[in-house]
Amino acid sequence: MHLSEGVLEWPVLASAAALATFGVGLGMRALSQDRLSTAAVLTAVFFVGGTVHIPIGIGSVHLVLTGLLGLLLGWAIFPVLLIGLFLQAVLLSFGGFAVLGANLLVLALPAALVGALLRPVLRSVMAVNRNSVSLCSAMGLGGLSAALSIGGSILLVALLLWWSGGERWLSLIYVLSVAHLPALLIDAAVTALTVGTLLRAAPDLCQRLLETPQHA
Amino acid sequence: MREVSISGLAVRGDDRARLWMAILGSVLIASMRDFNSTLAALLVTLLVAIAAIVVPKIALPSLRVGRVVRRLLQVNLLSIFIWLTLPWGWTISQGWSWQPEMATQAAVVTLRLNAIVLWCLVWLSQMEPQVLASSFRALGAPARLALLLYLTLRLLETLTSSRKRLQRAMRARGSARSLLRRLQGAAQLLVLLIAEGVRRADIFVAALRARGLDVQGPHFYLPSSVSQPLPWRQRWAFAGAIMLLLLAGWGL
Repeated sequence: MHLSEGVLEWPVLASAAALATFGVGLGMRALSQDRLSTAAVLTAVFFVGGTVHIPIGIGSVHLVLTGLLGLLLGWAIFPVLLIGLFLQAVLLSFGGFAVLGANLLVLALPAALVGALLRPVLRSVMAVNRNSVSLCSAMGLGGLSAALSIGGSILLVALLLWWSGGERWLSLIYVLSVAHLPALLIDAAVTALTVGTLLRAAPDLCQRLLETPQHA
Repeated sequence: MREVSISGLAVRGDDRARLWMAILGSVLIASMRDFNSTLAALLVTLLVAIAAIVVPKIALPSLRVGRVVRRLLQVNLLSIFIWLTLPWGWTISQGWSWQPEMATQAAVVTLRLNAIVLWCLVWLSQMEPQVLASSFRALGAPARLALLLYLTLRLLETLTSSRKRLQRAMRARGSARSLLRRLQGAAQLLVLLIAEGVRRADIFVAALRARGLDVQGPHFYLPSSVSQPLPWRQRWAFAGAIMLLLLAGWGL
């Protein structure tokens, strides 16, 4: 899902970085002091989860987890992913510095929007009695969140590539979009199962992760 | 605080300078648009990398050849996609045809990609994670963001070793037989990592408080190694340098 260095032209990089900076500003407002440690946990899980590979056929798909993070963090996903992507660039050479803003925008914006939409629904589902219907609803919301987040990211990648290269990049856009579809399906399934496991095995932890941010 | 100098031993010794060099170089190379300048950038980067391999401890962090080759092979998977799609055009009358100008464009992207990745590996390959937070803060990041990075770094080692331990245990129990089992295993792994992370984070925050560092209050304090931002003059100089590099790259 990461855009590599050197692919996008610098006006695109600069514009994406400006939008991502705005997003980080919004995210910092949503990230209160008392949620910093939870945010740090989710940043570390994003980093470590990115190294979990699910073997499929002769290849494998690695987890993206932006849907889960968007659902749990809302707009605060921007600073969380900024740190996660910065660490991936420094420690693993995934992505890079020049393309950091573009990658942040691609991953965080759809997840934040989806999170803003689905978080209240998940909270209301959790507020009712925990029966199999509410559990299935929560799992469905988790899967939907991941699918929409990664689907949005694929669209944004296509948009940035189109802006950078126009029609000559069209074939590459098709190939990359199709190549990311397995990641979308796998991530949606894993996110749904994760939300379900959290609700069944650790409802208090789930409640804590979904706490409403109090502005600092 | 040591002087930031872009020459010789001072660059090697100062982690902030290394981070700066990686960021500035990435921005400069990303802004190059023609074949000759990107080729020159890759050649210069190669020379720097060879210097780092052949004569470590003189001016640059030492570089492990295996890691560089592995990483370059990984990033060039995208180059393969680019070469398979970009230079080929299709029309009804001619079918598939090779387009030289598009091939040049693919070459520029490939050269840029390799030059940037190699440049960052040269400067950052041996950087200790713990010094990152102070370097990040020195670049002008807000204190709260630097604290988020600091807490994350403290949790990373724990969660990475937990992931390895849990995955070994899951494999030993034969959890990877079907796709559904693999997905369930991944979900359980994530929940266990989150639970372990929250437990560790609580302990860590309590330890910081016990040492008199207020993490929750409106005016919290970072550990001394993370608490020194650069003076405003140097921050503006850094921003100015990035702008100049962008303009220089645009000119090239």
